[in-house]
Amino acid sequence: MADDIAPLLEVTGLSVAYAARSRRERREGADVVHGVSLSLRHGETLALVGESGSGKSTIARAVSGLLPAGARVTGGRVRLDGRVVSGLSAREWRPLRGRTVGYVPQDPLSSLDPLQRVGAQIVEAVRAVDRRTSRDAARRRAIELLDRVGIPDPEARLRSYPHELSGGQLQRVLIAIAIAADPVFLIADEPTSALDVTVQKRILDLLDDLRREHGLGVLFITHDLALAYERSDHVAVLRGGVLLEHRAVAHMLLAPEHEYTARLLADVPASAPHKYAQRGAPSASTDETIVLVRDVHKAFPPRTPRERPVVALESVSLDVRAGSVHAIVGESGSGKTTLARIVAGLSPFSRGEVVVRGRALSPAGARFNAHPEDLLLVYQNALAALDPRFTVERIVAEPLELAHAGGRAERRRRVREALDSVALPHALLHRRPIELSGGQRQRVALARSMVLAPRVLVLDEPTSALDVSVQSRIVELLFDLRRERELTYLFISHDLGLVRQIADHVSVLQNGVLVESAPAAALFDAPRHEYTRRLLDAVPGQGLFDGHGEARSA
Amino acid sequence: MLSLGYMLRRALQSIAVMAIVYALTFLALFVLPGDPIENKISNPVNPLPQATADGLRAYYSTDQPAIVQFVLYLARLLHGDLGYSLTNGKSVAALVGQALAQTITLAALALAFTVLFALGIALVATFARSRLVRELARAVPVLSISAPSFLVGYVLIAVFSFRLGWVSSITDQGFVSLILPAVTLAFASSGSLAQVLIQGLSSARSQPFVTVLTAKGVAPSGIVVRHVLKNGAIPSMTLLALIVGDLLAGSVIVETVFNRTGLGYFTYTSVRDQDTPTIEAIVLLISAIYLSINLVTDLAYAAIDPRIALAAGGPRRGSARRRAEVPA
Repeated sequence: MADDIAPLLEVTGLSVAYAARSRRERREGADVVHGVSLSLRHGETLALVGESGSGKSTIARAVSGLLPAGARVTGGRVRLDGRVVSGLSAREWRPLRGRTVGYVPQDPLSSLDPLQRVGAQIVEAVRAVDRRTSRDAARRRAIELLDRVGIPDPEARLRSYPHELSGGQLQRVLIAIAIAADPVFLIADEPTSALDVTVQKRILDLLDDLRREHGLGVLFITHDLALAYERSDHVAVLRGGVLLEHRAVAHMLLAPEHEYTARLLADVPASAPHKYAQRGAPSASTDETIVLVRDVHKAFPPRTPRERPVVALESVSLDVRAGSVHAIVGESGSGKTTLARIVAGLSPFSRGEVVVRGRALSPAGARFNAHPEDLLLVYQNALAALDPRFTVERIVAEPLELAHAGGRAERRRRVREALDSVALPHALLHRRPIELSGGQRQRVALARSMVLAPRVLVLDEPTSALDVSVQSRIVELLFDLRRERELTYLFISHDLGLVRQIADHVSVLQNGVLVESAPAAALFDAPRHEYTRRLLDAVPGQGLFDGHGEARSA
Repeated sequence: MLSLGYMLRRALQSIAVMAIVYALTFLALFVLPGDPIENKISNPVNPLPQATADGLRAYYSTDQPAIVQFVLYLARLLHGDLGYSLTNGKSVAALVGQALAQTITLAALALAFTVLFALGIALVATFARSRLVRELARAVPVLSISAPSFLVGYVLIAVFSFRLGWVSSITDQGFVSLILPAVTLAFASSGSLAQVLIQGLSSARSQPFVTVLTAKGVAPSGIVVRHVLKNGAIPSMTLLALIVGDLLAGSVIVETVFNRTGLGYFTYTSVRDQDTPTIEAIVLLISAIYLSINLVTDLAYAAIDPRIALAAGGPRRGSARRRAEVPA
């Protein structure tokens, strides 16, 4: 589109504040966005990139009139489709909703009313903007929309409840709702952060197609710079509510202007697949098999007599060498977490053999991990895995108490050592999990495992809830710990970019079947199974970087 | 969703529970020294005429051991015979029926008021524009939970019967006489319900789907009525069931204050007079009430929330998401 036409979205000097909750906030002002200026033209995608707390979602909400109660625009102006929308009341916003702005949310699993059929919720979107639409016409439109967003058998799908659909399908339904009234502007607020890599690719492809088809302007919020580069025309980088740079992707790829952008880029796994190559396996890495899995089967019993049992794992065999990083990859539902729980002795299995440090596990499973000094499981969601009423000190000391290890002074010392080992300041000892950042929580979870000095850590997606840059810090920490303590990692992940950086050996699971298991270098250079190739293709930022971590000129 | 097998299983479970309750009550009453029925009939204070007393002795076979009496009881129960009161020799079934008729209309009205009060307070406490109004509405449930119902009842009588003279405090004027006791009962039971509703509504309104609804252009009132209310009311259904049970089982205090002879008052006098057959009948009735309310609640959960599957142990959330067999 020509430059002389007014941009679709023009943000000038936007500041947003949340209502002060404390005296300090009132004194210092609780601005979360400070004087941000942006613009977006029809048919283009602008990516807002930043870590959590950078204000990217707040900006998205401010320009779409979706700010939560207590937040308000304190300065600047937002012009959308030729109209100044900053300062509009909720009532004044309503005619713009759906028709001008469509909104694709972050978490598809909780973004639909769980009690209503999918069809009714799309029909509601169609009729909300135009009451005169008959139910029948709205229903036909809903079928058309579902078909457009790539949901097979749309007529039958209308009758589904949200819990009967997968995350990717739900996001498609939400996209259908967002485009129901043909908006000119689409906000996608981290639309794929809750989804698998392969699903992410398909969803973003769909959004791209819709943008081209309808000439939509898309405001794409993400914390992944590689994703932003790959999917947008312009990128705006934010930190602490301040806009650092706002330029065309082509220019940014040549050389990021801001040092922070360069750092964000370096933290994207795909940008530097060999970042940790020199920190590879320590000398302790031997041929000794520390975890052995042979022909393991696992089926979940059916919920009702009529259903068939759900097969979670089918004759899975693998060897984890002492001192290595062994990655297990696959999409959700592939059986990764089930395998992790079996190896940790927490989940029973139907058939096969699991040996950890020479000790065979009982197929019946156990109520608790009887040998934490051998192997420990670190959970995916650190917030959920830490008792909210415990202080950091108590959380980290608990394994020692359970093991009746040492006296009080001894425990205090070991707790502090564990905090040191994960680079957490002692000042956090008396905080509770809710008062910590995501990265700090994951460090506490690691410290809790470290106090018992296990040989093997099973890490179940330890960084999937974290920003790219926090993820990179945690990964560095994991390498430090491995070097100091000669640990072995069984690393569960769906992020092949990250796995490529850190793993020595990779096993790929698909629907409970191990389809490929090979040394990392071999697997990434020449994937043999079609499913592995598909996973690799979906890693964002593939085409942007060559093998040496340098940005290719676009 | 609602399979015949499920209903049958639940019905059998309920019958088993009632049998156990009945046997335990019988046992508890017979643990007392001596034969409770014989003791009661031959109590010198008991005003029964000799002929009635002899009739009762013969009917209950007081000369037989307890176990024989229990079997006799059970056999008669299966034929719908609840026996005769030890204090006046009247049919227990008739007495219970009378009390229940008194209670059921009152309970229904009190239930309607309870839901009305709780919903009103919860809506104001959650959605009122003014913060002050919201805070005030939040204080009401605390007040209604802590105010004793005899006090509330007497205040209502003082105002509406004595001061305003709208309702008689003594004679039964039919429906009008139900209003004050129903309000008293509802005032007490609406407090906890309102608190759970407030919790439910505020958690429902901060769900991400509300943002999507707003972005779709649905009016705020539509969001509340069509989505937030239903989602927010689910957690209070269990409490509502308990309240229905409590209202039906009767409230001695409120019935005493308002001079009514419903189930609560009847229970009180039966226990006071150690009228064993009547106590047995009341226990049976109340456990039947609670069991059927429980069943209705479980069915209601399944009807409202599609995520709930009815399993043998009661309803539960499906643990595994059932994904449709198509790629994302």
